[in-house]
Amino acid sequence: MSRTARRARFAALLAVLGPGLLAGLSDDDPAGITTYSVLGADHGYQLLWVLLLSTVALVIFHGLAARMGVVTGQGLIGLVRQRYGVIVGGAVLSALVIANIGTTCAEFAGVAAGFEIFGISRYISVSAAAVIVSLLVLRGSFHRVERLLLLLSTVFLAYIASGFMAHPDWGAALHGTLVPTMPMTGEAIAIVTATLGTTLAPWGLSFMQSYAVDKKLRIEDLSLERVDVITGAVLTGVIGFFVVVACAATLHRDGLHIADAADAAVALQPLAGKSAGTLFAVGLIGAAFLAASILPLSTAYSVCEYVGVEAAIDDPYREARTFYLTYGIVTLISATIVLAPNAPLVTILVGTQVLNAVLLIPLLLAMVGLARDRDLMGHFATGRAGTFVYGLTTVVVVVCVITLGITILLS
Amino acid sequence: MLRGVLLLTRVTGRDVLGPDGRVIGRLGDFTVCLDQQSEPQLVERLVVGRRRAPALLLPWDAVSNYGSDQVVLAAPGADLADFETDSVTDALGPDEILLCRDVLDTQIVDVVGQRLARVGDVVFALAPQARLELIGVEVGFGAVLRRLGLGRIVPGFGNDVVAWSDLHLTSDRGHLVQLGTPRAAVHRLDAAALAALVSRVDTDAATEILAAREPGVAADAVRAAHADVGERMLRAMPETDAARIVAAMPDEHARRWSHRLASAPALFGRRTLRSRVWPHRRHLIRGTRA
Repeated sequence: MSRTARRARFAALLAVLGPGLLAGLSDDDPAGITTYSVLGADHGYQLLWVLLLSTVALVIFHGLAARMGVVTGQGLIGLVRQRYGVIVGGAVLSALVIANIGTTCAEFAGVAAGFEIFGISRYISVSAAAVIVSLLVLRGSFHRVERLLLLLSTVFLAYIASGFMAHPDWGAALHGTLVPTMPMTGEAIAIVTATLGTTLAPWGLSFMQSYAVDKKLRIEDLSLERVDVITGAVLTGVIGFFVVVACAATLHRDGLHIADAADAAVALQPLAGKSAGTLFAVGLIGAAFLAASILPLSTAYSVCEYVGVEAAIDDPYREARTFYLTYGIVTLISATIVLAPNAPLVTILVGTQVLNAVLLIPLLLAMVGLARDRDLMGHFATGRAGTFVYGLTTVVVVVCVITLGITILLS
Repeated sequence: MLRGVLLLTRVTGRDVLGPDGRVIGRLGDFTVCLDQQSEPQLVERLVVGRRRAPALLLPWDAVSNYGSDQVVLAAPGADLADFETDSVTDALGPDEILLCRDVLDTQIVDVVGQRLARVGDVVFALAPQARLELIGVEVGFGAVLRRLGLGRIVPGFGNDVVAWSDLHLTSDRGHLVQLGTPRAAVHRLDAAALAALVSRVDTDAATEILAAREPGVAADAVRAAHADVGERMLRAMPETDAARIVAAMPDEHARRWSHRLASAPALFGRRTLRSRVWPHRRHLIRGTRA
């Protein structure tokens, strides 16, 4: 390939990059970072192989979501309505909206926890975050919003730096990644299923597909979009790897246990140096901020697709009121819940996790059904081999979700 | 609530009976032929779904009585073997579409209101000789709420009906059949309305729409559209077609467009991806369902 052709190909790739990166990286939200932190703190390097599996699941289903978006030109909820009717579509949308509001609460709670490490009140940090994410979408063009979100994603580098600063045992980390071993305890099963079961989030899948549509990707872009999806999923896994490694090299070594990612940031400071803990906290804030921007966006896309009105970030408010109002309402409700003095935040977060897990099952089944539909997907419909791969991944995720549900109920 | 009209979601699912009163199946769908020469757009055929038997694709003549909760056929089920079909899609005529599959819950472009909308229901009126006349499609959230059974609980959403003559279908079959139908809205739009339409469909569909019109009208539409949209369409066309459209422009515009097309596209053409266009599923039916 000539130099000019390589340049052209690279420029085309840069133009297509976005949906996979953002959907993947936003999966590393505070809930994800907490899961990885607990995985590392409680089990050291032993369960790192789980991240490989979750990365594969992410590649498979985010790739499918992107393909369906590009081929049909519609978001996931729009397709569910078209294929399965308004009742199924309405039920899925209702569950998605409730789950997304709950998850956005979790993201704002992450913003609050991250800033509280630096002594900043949640009333200031959450209010500011809500205003900033709203302005970002309301005032920005698609290009600007995408660039700012991608720029924000670079904050995840903080986790990589934090991992190096913890001076991990790289040999043990490599062994834990490539050689699966499993302590047969209830705790280990719970954290493995939590990692696998929560890697794929309903909002991430719907965002991936809607965003690919809003970006106006075309069939010709599919091969480059695959690169975008794989890059996003691999980076998601790599960041998870470094979070686990940082906690394994410090907290696990010293026998410390943590409850969430903010605990990990505080606990890391005396063990790996103040800057490692600070970087971990900065990463947490950035992750929460990114997901807090994307969740209302995913909700707004889904509502508009279901209702059947035009919705694009490039549209001005007067032409896309439903889109912007949905975005604003989700942000406002979530921020208000997090700031309400006596709001049952823990109950909301646990309930959201359960709802996300429950919703994931019909959504994955719907995606497999849609992918097989030749009326919708034409030549891009999934054949037998593809159905087997998607079906197998769905079964693994469903088993994890059910196991996680049982674990939560028993605990 | 729409009065004096019938709605697709309410009429489908009704029992279809033979003259002896025995249930033959359930009304699954209707077809319409877009190339009908007569003015009212009448329902052409009925799709009757049956348990453990192939579907029936019946001409409207086979209906002897169209009632409020059931449809009675003129012939008993045993005499309908000629209308059995394993694939309704394959049995459709070249200008025939299915209303549930190709219209209901799909996106359409309202060429008068210049907006993209999703079909909430299909609206009919009873025509003479108990025929069903297609009036238009209902869009907006009101239809969705009604179908969910929440129409009375959540009032305030009015009826928003787009006339059948004022819409362009974005489903694959609907789009292609409309392109081949001289009566369809796409063939009588002026340049400004055509520009609004091609700005709301994907590149392939937009180029097909322009190719279906005379070069002069297509040239005016390109000039009326956003420059990015115009460039995207012209670049996506075969060079000869693009040259023909550019040649149909006034000299000064033709020179400017020739110059624009001769230079390398910004960001290798990617910048035009962000113009307000919804992709379309053009690749689906080439050679299989058209």
